[in-house]
Amino acid sequence: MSTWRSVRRMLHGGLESDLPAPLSDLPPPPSRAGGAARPYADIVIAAHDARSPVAASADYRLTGDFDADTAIVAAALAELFDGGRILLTDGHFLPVWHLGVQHRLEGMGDRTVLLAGVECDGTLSSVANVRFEQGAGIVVRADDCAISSCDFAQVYGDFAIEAMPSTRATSVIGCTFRNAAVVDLKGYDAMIRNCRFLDGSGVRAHDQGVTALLMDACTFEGQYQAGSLPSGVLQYAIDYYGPLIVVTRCSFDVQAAGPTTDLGPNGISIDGGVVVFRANVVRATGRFKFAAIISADTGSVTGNVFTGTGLDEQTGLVFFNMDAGTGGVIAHNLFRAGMRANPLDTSRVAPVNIDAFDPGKGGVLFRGNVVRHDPLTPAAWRYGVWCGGGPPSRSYVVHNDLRNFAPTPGWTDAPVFGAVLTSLTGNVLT
Amino acid sequence: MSRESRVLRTMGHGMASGRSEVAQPLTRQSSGGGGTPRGRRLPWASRIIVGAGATAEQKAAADVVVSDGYISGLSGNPIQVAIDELAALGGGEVLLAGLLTVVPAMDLKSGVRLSGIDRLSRHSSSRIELRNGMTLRSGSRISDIHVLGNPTGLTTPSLTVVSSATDVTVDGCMFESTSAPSIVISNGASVVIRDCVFWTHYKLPQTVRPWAVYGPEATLGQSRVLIEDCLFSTGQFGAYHDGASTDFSRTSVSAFLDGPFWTFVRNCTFDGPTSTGQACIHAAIAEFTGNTVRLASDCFFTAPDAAIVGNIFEANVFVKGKESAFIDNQMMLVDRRIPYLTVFNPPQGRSMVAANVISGRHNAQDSPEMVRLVGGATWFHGNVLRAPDTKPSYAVSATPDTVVVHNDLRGAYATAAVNGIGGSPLLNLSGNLT
Repeated sequence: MSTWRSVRRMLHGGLESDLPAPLSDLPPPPSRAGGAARPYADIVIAAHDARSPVAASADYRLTGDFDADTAIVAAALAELFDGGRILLTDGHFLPVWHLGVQHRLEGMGDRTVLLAGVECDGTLSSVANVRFEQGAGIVVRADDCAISSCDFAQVYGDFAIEAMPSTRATSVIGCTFRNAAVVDLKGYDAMIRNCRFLDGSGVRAHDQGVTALLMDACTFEGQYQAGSLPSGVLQYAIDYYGPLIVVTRCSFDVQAAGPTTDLGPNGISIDGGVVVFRANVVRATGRFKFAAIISADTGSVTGNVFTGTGLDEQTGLVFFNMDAGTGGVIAHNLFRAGMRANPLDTSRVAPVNIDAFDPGKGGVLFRGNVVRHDPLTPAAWRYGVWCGGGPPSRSYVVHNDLRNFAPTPGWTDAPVFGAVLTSLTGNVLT
Repeated sequence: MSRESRVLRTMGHGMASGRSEVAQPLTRQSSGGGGTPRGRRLPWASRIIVGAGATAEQKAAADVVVSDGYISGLSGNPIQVAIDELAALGGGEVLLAGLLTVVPAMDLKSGVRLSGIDRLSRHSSSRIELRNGMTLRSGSRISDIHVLGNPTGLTTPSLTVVSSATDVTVDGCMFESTSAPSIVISNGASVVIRDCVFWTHYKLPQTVRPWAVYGPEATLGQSRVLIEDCLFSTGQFGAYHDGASTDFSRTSVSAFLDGPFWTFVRNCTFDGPTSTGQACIHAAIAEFTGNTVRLASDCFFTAPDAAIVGNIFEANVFVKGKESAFIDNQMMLVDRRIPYLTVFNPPQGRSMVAANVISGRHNAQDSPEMVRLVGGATWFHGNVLRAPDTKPSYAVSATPDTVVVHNDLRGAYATAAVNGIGGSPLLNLSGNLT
């Protein structure tokens, strides 16, 4: 019996009377091995519990039995020999989906729910407009795969999206991630746009293979924690290591969690060859070690707003280490922090920390920024901008607004601290 | 455990037997003629209700058919009955098709969704006219529906999110309103509004000017509202619901958006001619990023620490926050009054205006400068100002504690680049190109 006939028999077992008409009076299409599969086409697959009217005319209707549905899905996908669109009705789908070249999996309703994962095995495959629940997610194993308008409700420990090593050009657009979901990028070149990372969800890319990450207009909300993590908590909103990262127009509203005896987490941790961090808004609350730590051989951090509210025992709002290559520019940002002294490091409190000590390299230009500091508790030292790394520092701190550092009784205040700063001119201090 | 196994177990499948508790076939119901919705109680329960103009296929699948689409409430509201039933089940979805006019007030209870029947026919096949509005609660979601406000001049909002509601989503809807706000958000509510279109038009001879999204200012400081990828517009959109009014003034619509604290507005377009001197955005908005604003009236940002970053404005802007950041915006105004940008600071205010491009041709003036910085200690740095045609007297006017440094002010003034308001010179004024 051909695959098609066996599937058809399974499909009709106990169900035929429920359908308004047989699936089709056309001769059953041969299996893929038969050599006459359809070219790029649409296939409609209805969930066993679909309510949408379109389910009545679907090409396939699932049964709700995992094994049977797996066979049906395999047969359906085999029809799409040259790529095509698989339209899913509303309802719950149990099987794992293995998408081939140019296979487009799309939900037709607001409640197309996948309870098992999708494997993008073919290039140019895509997934759109479906909801993943109970830990199901997407594994990308091929180039040029696109994921859009999907909703991921993860169980901690599962990846919402995992792009495997050597894959290229994965794009994620308009998706929502919940419950500490992780987008893990191991391949080359990824783009993430218009996505929401809720409940402490985040993006991670640690592997050397990642060459570029472009992230635009995304929102991050939730709690993050350093050290040993309880279930459902991540360490970072972004934790990226790679040659190029561009983060623009994103909003981070992040809170630090965890015991007060540890240094807090870093809300945003970026370590790239070239980093562009522009027009983002970062709001951090709680015991972050740094709300953002940005390291780059060459980087620009411009037009951002960094705000720390209710910061507690924190070592800094932001930390920049951007002089290993041709240098970095930090310009036209607003840094605003209310901080307490850190019991693990009581020597200093500074919203902005810059390490720039590579001799012969470009150094860091810190220009046109505004730094505000509303201390919550006394510390031995208080600075606006701390330039470290040992002498000679290669920080150029020029033409910034560093007011708001009027001496406080019992404090030692300084707008800028640094060992042998190369340039420190034009700042407005009073 | 494999993902498949986990799913099976979670779904109640016996691992040994492979039996499924959810694998029951759908028993299709015949179309109803009103009354109590029928249908199986599925894991995610749903009810289909169709009104006037629904297709035969939609009617065939429906639990309830309201043939004329009019629900007066005299014999019960089948939509509300379905909502109540699904809420009792712990959640579900009411699917609508065709046009339904609902007179009674409705309550979309927690965990229940109200959706258009087919996302692929967004904004067209599913319409609901809410004569007395609908209340949204925690977990409510409304999507892919064309929502019509009350056409009779009543000011009941189309949707009202109750106090402290969480995880409320309004997605993919078109709102058409003539006399009342489309969405009102109460104190402490958490709401996401995405991918919606707001047509807030003004139907003569009414004088009420509706906000599209409104958070009463009495609720400041509590709610969290995210508005993304929406279009706020005015227009002469057809008044098909009453079939009579077609005279929508394109110059009398005033207000689009008002919001409480923690409103995040991103990637939206505000487009529509409005009356000069009236507010079209008047909001305590925490973040306003990546938007395009083309309005004949003004934008007021009143949050104490608003971040207004990376927008395009073709509208006069007033920033009234204490520590606001106005960064990396482009302002291009033609035939508008000056000042184009006004920053009001309270006495301890420390706003930041940096890296913006501001240009235009003015035809009237409230004061003689392009940018006016009043009060506090604003930091004005790295901006480019241009006035290629009509030169204002000054590029920038500011009170003494303002710092105006390293800006490009060439060609943006007739008398002086920077003017001290009240006659006092600015203490920090250096590095500007003039």
